[in-house]
Amino acid sequence: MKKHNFGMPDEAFFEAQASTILEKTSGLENWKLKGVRKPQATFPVSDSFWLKMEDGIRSRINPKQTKVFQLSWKPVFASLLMTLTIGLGIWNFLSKTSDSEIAEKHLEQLNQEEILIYLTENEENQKITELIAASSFHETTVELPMGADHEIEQYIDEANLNESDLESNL
Amino acid sequence: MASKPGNDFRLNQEDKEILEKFKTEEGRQLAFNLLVRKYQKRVYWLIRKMVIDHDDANDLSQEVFVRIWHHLDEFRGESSLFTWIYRVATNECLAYLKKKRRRFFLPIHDLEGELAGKIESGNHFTGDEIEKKLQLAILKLPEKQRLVFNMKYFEEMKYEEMSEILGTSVGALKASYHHAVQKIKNSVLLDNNQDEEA
Repeated sequence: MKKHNFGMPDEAFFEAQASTILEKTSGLENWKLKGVRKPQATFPVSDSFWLKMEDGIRSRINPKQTKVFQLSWKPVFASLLMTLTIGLGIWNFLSKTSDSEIAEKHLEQLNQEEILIYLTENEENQKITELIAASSFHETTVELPMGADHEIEQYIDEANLNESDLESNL
Repeated sequence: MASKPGNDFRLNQEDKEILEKFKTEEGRQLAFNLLVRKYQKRVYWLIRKMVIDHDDANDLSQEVFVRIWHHLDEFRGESSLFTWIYRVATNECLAYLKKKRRRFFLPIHDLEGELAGKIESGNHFTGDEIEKKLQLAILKLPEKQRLVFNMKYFEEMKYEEMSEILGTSVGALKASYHHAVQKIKNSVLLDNNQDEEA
């Protein structure tokens, strides 16, 4: 059976291990990709940029006018556009009249003569005229002369009806 | 040899003078102009590497300096002025990218795709093929890892300084950088193999 050695490793082992770790870490620590320049050389910036940047900072810390409300044009423009659209929608809705309303207005402007000409113009219109006439016939109420009630009473008297006749007919 | 601005952790003499002037009514504007002139390029390049687009980088850099103008009085001098400015710039940059992604409801890869498109279009980038491959590989990293990689690889910043700026431990930054390098190496090698196969 193989015997395991659990004894302490010697100095040489630790030295070798330390140098391996150092080699590995310093390898990563000092790793550089050949031929790579600093970003200052690869990200383009104009010569005048640094002065412009200074001016930009100065103008941001010393605004010429201190505004109480910072007005941003984008939301103002958007809200104006929205108000205008809603306004136009409402105006369009209110100003729009229905077809029946237009027809009614047009009919009101016609005189009786024009209506009569239209109604007698052709066969179909004549039928409409007849229908209107028929409906007015049904709606006509017959007005009796003032003495009608008296005449009915007289007729009943002359008929000489007795009480039992009246009860059986009611 | 002149040292790079900001590589000292403590407040240097030049920055001390700027801050002193800034505290006075009559010297405030002049001090701020000096500060802008001294740090504008480093702030711009830090942001440009992250957002790629020149106009976006310009706008964000200006925003960073406006913020500095309003908050410089709050700077206590516990770190170098450069570290403090860089912290403002990185926060602004990360917030901008987050906002941009949220505004357009883009998942992370789409924003990367948009930035990669800008590099490939040639309007925002004039590097050669290998430089383009490196930039495209950097874009595949998570945003904070991109920051770490850019700071270490291009600006050769110390981990201790990066730790102050990003509020992350040195160990975590080292691990993050090593992971980033590994991913970039793999990505560039993969691209090269594909080119050879094609």
